[in-house]
Amino acid sequence: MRPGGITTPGPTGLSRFRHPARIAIDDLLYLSTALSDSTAADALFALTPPAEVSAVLHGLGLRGITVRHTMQELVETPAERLDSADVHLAYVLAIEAGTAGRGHRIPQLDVTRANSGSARAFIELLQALWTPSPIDSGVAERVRTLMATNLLRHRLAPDFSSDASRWSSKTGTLLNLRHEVGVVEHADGQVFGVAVLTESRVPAVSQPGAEALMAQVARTLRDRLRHL
Amino acid sequence: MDVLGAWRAFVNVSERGSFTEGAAATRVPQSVASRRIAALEKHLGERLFDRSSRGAMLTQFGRDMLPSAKRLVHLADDMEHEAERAKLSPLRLAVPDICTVRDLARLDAEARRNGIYLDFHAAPPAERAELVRSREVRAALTVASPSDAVWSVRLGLAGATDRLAETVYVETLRAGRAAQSSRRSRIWIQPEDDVPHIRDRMFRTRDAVGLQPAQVTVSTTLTAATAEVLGSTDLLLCSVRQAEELGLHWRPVGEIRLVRSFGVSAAVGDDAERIQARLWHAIARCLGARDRDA
Repeated sequence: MRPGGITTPGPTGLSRFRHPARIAIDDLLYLSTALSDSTAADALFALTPPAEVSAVLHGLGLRGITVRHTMQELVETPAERLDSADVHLAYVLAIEAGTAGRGHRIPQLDVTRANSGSARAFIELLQALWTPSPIDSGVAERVRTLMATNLLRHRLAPDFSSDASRWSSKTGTLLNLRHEVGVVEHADGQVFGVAVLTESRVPAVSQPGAEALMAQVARTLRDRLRHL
Repeated sequence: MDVLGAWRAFVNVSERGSFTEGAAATRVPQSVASRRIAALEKHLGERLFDRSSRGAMLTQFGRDMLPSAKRLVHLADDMEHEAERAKLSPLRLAVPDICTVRDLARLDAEARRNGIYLDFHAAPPAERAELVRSREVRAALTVASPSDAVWSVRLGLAGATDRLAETVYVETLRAGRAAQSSRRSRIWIQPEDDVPHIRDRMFRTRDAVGLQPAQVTVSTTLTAATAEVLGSTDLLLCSVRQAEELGLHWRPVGEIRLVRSFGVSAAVGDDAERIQARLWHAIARCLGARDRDA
């Protein structure tokens, strides 16, 4: 692996490496899933291109998720061209430049051109991973383990993890979009899938209030289902 | 030679038939009246009065000149009267609707001493600019960009309770992670400050420090905003002077320096200069600007 050498806040893992490294594919999977390491993810995309990933998903009957481009293409938004004092301008653009039919002037936010998926589609994916499905059981087991080791735990995890429950998830963040899909497994055996996809109207990079609100709403809904 | 004064003396002497009475009517000594008329005769190269007779008898030339001389004098009198009236006609001035009656009255009084009669029209910022553009007022105290402000007023945050901190940081209004949906304190922006260089910077600070969007809001009126502040822990963005008047405790803002800035716009450029030069201090007091560096 060539080092990413990125120094701006955000990217993790190999993207910030300063020296070349040899890494096993299995570890690339860990880095991309548990650390959200885009460089590791793109190394995997080089072996299995986005179109093939989409085809595999569709082949498994999971049609709601479409993968169209690599992580490199995903993160090359206007935010990357502005320095940190002006980066909020990219957020203003992200918030205001939407067009009719869920289109967007920024290609990464246009659902017809970007990687896309609905909350329902992600819940179907989680269900396929956590319950018997066409997905190879060994693969499903490995994905579940990787998601349980997710290091990004500031969003929904504070409201879902405890000594009596296990929270496995994957976050996704781009400009004003904040997403997380995951599964909470309670000690009593109950299992709930959670998919939270949000779009903020506030042009600020760091929004702990929004993260906390996402978790609060998800928790309230989960509590409601659990009491049924 | 004072031509107009000489013709006035000529008309008065001829109407009264006497140099003494004519001079008195012109409100000058008789010697001055005689000298003026003599100068006039020399200028015209003809005698106006027949000095051989007793009293002041007009010559034929004098009689010929009398009607037009009377018209000239009347016209001059009318002009002076018009000038007096023009000076008295009020200068309609659009002022911020946050100025108090007391301050405006003091401004009016000071303006009168300076020979300017003001007629106030209180309006919010956008309307003031429009009033002067449509010439409904002769001049307006309008919002200026901070770099070319004639008057600057420092803004801060004022609350109903006396806070211990010397400075109020906007970020302190951000709810802690453990705070459970209790009511969050808000910052109210009054309509006078609903201008880009204040409102947008305040909103940017709100977003940057992680407040909820509703925590910094533009209110519809100053009264409504003050009412919100009086009954809660909310804060009003205002000047020191406004805080004093409203009985609130004022503190500077920690994160940014916000300044309300004013200039004069006038339909006729001269009015703007007159107001600025003669009434700077009185207007500064009205707006709450402390001094030229405030």
